[in-house]
Amino acid sequence: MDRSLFSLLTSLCLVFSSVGTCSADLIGTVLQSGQSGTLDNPVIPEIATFNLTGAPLQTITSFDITFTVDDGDSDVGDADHNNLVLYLNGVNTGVLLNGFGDGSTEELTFSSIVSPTLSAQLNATLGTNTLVATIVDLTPNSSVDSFTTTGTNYVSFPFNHSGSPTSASITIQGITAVPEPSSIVLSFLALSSFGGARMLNRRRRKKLS
Amino acid sequence: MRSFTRLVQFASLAFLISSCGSLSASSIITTSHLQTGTSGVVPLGGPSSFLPVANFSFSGQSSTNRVNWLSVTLTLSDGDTGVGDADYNHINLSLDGVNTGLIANGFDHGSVLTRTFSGMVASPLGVLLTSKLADGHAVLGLQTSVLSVIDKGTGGNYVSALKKCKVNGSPVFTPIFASLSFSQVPEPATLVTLSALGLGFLARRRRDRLHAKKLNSISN
Repeated sequence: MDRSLFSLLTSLCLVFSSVGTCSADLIGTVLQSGQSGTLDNPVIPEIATFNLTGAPLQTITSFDITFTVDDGDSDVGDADHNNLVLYLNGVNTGVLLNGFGDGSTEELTFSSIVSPTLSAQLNATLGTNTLVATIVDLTPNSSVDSFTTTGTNYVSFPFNHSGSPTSASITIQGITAVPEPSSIVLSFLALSSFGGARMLNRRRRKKLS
Repeated sequence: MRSFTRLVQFASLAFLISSCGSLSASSIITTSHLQTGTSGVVPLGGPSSFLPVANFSFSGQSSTNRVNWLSVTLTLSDGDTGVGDADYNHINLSLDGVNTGLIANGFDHGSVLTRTFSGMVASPLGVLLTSKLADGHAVLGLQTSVLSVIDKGTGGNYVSALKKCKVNGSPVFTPIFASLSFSQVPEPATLVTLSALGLGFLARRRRDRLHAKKLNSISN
């Protein structure tokens, strides 16, 4: 192989490998679904469906989610304390949704660090930047969750509270692959010098011939 | 004998005045109580079949007079009784299981809202409610007149009578109260009896006076 051609290929490889990473966010805020029901339904009610904005993330590192629940029964001493888990696009995030009291409406925020495995699972579902947040009950068949009893584990995700809109919001933090400015300059210099060297070689050959 | 008659007259007068007190008194009794926090599917109406919203206490305030007007304020989450919602016109308000005839429309799907309902109460229902309120307690409840598919637990007709509220990052809870107001009037039969008593009392007095006058003129 021609030496100059080899150099050119090498420099191109260098250019393409000279990309860095930077932190970025995917953000979504939307009115809550207004859905309600028991969490052991065949169809589990949605908290909200987010349409995320932001560049695709190479790796998800953490997220914060804020939403409002009526009668979650997950406060200390309530029937579903430590039983409710947040799912995003059907993926179990492992985040326990404690703190939603019996017979109350509460807005809470949950923050979580995301493991590489969970990051990969979530990223695989984020093709269209649509994110559906749901709650899954880890003890769906307990007596408190059954339809046969009254006044039980119903939850609601209202979109209106006394005339004010009730929104849910999520921020997904992560890193995205972008070329670094210094790398770009270095790569440009490398390319220019290789091109110059090749041009000099050609001239020299021409002269010799 | 004369003093005994006077005693009876005095007692009758006192009774009449006290009766007139309750007559004018269509005074309004108002009470409020923290909501129960109960949630679930609204059941078909029945004496003991209702979703409890609040347990009111008004001991010593109610009388045996007929309830003729009623007003209720309550807060519900996801009542599904807004215009076009699945349970529009289906959910009634009950007191101790008795359907008050007040229809709890306006609790929109997916919303937490406070509404007030009031109306005149016709005589037969008023008498029934009076008997229920006589003990100084009443449970406000929700009953449905139509048990539709959405009421059978497919994630539809959930409703919650929330008891506290914390929204928009507020660090404190706001308790949610329901309130009940009602007025009472004497039954027509009671009015007739009282009127007859009053007329009899006046007639007796007139006759006594005439009798005394006659005696005076004879003695003179």
